[in-house]
Amino acid sequence: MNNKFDALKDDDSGDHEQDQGSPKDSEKEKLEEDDKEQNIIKRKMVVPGPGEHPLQYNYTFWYSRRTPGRPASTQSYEQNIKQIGSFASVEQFWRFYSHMIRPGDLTGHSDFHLFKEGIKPMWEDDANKMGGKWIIRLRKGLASRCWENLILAMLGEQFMVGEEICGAVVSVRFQEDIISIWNKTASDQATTARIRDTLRRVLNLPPNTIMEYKTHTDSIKYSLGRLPWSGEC
Amino acid sequence: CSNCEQVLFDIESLKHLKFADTRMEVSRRRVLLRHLEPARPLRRCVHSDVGNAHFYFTTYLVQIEDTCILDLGFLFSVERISYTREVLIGLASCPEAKKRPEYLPDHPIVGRKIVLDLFFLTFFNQRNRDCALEFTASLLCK
Repeated sequence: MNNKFDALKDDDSGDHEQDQGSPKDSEKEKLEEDDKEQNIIKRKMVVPGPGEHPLQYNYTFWYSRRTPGRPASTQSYEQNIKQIGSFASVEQFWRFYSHMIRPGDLTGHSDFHLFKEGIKPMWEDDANKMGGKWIIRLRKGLASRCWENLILAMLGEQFMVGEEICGAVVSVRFQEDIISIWNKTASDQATTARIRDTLRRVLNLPPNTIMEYKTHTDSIKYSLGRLPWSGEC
Repeated sequence: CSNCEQVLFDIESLKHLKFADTRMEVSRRRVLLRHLEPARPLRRCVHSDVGNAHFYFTTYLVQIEDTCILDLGFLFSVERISYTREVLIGLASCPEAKKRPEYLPDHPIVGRKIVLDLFFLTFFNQRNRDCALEFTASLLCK
């Protein structure tokens, strides 16, 4: 990836990291293998099985992690994110979810992403580029429960904002965890307000909880200003 | 619900309409502005595309449940597939939800066996959980 989106994702909420260097040959081979593996998954069109409960949209689980001890500058976010699988029904969702470890059990700088099928968890995706996200910073120990409640609300279409929701991210960091939900149109204040209110309700957040809305445009600008990468955020 | 009754009523009434024909319509504007005079009906030819719209419209209504008509002027919306948290959690217990996905990458975040610490097991009220499981069982029996 060699464009403005190669920049760092500075705010740690499931975002990108810069790609200033070229991966080594062995890394390239591994990435090609990963691409092949992911293409196999992509080609498999998911549909609800007989008797299963269809979801309004198909979704895809993604996972990303910054490799410990390796400078972030040698990795591209897109290369570092791994597709786990897609599902089209409630039952299929539980199959994946039940076989994945919980965010609270993740170590290091890791993210789970759950996005509508066809939308990459990246700022530059067409569905995201005009959008933004609500961010909630959590004390350690709350991520698993909040993540579960968040994605159940999203899959169950509890946000009631039409096509606006793009996906959700949980980011496990050193001293805190972050959950965020991404929507398509950052300028639509009625929509973002409704998402905020629904988040408060489904996560049972106290009224004084700080919720931050950040446009992806701002995230890009901020990350470009932070170059070169200088350490953990 | 009243919306559903309205939908059924509209389906029945629309079935008998032939949109390709000319039909009589009352101009609302004339009625409002010249209310002292008898409303004069206008003869208007409805474009044949409306016939197609009628076909798709009625097809939609017949095929999709929970449809709600917002306006008789062919403005309508279809409700989305939504589930409450309780229903979703209830469905986690059904056998289909416990199978290992066919395409699951070999990765440290993926467990060999099912991850048992589902949050509803610890956080969900036991009585509600029983209700959810009963609900799930009833769905599976259908």
